[in-house]
Amino acid sequence: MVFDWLHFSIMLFLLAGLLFACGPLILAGLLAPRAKGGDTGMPYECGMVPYGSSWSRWGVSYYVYALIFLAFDVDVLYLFPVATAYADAEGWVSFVKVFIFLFFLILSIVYFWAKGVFTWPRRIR
Amino acid sequence: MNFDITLVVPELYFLCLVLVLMIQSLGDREWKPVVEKWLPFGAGLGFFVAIVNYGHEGLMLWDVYRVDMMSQFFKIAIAFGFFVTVINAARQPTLAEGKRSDYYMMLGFSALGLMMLSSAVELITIYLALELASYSLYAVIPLRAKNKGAAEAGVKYILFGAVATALALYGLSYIMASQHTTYIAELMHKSWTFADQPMAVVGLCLFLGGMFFKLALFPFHFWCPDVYQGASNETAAFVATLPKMGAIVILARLAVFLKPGLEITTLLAVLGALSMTYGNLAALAQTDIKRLLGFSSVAHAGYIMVGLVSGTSEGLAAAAFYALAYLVMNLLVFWVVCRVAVDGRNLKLNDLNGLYKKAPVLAFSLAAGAFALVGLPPTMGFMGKFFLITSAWDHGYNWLVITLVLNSAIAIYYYLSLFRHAFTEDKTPDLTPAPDNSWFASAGAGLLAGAVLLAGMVPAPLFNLAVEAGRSLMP
Repeated sequence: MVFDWLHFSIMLFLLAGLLFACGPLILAGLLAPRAKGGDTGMPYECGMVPYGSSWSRWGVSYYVYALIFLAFDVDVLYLFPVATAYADAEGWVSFVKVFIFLFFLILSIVYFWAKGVFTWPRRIR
Repeated sequence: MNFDITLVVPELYFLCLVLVLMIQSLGDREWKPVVEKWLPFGAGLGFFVAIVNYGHEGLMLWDVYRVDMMSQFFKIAIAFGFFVTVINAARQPTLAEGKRSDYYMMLGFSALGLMMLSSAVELITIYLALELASYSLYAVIPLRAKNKGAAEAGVKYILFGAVATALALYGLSYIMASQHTTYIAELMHKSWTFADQPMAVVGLCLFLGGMFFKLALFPFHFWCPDVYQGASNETAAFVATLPKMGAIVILARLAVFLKPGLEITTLLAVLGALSMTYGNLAALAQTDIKRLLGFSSVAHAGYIMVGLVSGTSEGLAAAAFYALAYLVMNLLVFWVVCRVAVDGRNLKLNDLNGLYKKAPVLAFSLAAGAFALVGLPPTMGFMGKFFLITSAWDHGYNWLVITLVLNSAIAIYYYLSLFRHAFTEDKTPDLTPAPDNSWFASAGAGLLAGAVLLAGMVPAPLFNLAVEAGRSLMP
């Protein structure tokens, strides 16, 4: 095997990639101002000054809401491509398919509703 | 879209069953009849519907859904398993009162997903059906009163499951990128040697990892003993049996790529050998019965591989038959475990002491189950192993067959210790409630034991079904 320009360029590329990844780190180590204390240890460096520890306890309802929001958000995401393509579809099949999708979404909402997920309990039993 | 509603009657029936369960779970707790009163009949009818639907064939929904002998065989097995687990769970002591309908709804969703899995012939459809089957199990496993072990089991199952799913999806992307299709019918004709298609082979290995997780094959077995031990006995009876049916049917469908001598086939054989050896050796040291059964199912996953690596329709038939045998044997042993543990505790081997006096039918059935799991004649387990060995011999994996035989010898020790504790030891631990000796317990155990023995003595009708199933995949 002869060492030709292709191999050289691959090596060059690897080197460039390595530099691209490590360069900023090295540069930051060399150039960045060194500051300690003050606001650098805060969870958010802008906005309101938080009070209390970040390990305080939260109601579990926040997480349930957040998870359900996330789930439905992702589900609704699928409706965007449907909405763009629906105008070009012909026949009943596409309607049935969208309806099946929505039917299961509706079922899940009904299920959560009946299980009382949408109420905000003062105490979790 | 060639949609033929008569082909999917079992799936539609199960969907209706699940919807009814959902409506009941939404309603008041005082709704009559309570779910345990009607569901066994509903599930039994589902079994009947699955049998009636046997023999249909067809390809539908843009060729992603194939109804053939193999899928119908496994649908019957799944419907039967669901029927037995539902009856088994009807007297579950550790399930909270308000969650009963939800519990059965989840089991039903899982069974529905597994049924769809057994008909899916396209990788993305397989993935979706697999997720439907898994998600509901994630929710069911922690439902055991306020047991911390159950919560641990649930978290472990979710985390391991998520990792296995991620691996499978990653592998799927490799297969799509290199073979340009996800239809099994087209993938069949592609090359699967590492020299030609390294990317596809790596992808298929990763995708199979997702199935291995469900089957609890060796490197993906970590969850299995812990989950069985943590989940309630009745839930473990479901988790130990039905999801394996889904995994086996998919492995059988994918096994049509795997000619003997390919790298993936050898990998499957090596994993199978490791799985049976590790499972059996680890089971030797167990005292908790469900943990023992967990390691035993790791070993059985290894046995199934013997049928898949031979690359013949007889091998697939043997694997399908062994899957059925595994289902019935485990349902039988779990039935006895659930009836002995009337308060829903975890059983130790010592808890079986003197069972033959307290509940003779249960003790006899346990003996039948243990003999079947070892593979002694005249039980279904023996016939299953016999078919596996004869189908795999002389197809290039004789060392695997020898490993299987040696492993059966190791397994005798711990399976027969079930028998020994039930029949020869009399020193019972104090203060444990007596086993359920009612007609319900005895009849169920007796029927399942009868099925195990009868299918071992007259295996031909069932095996012919399995052969038909194998031929439908690999003519």
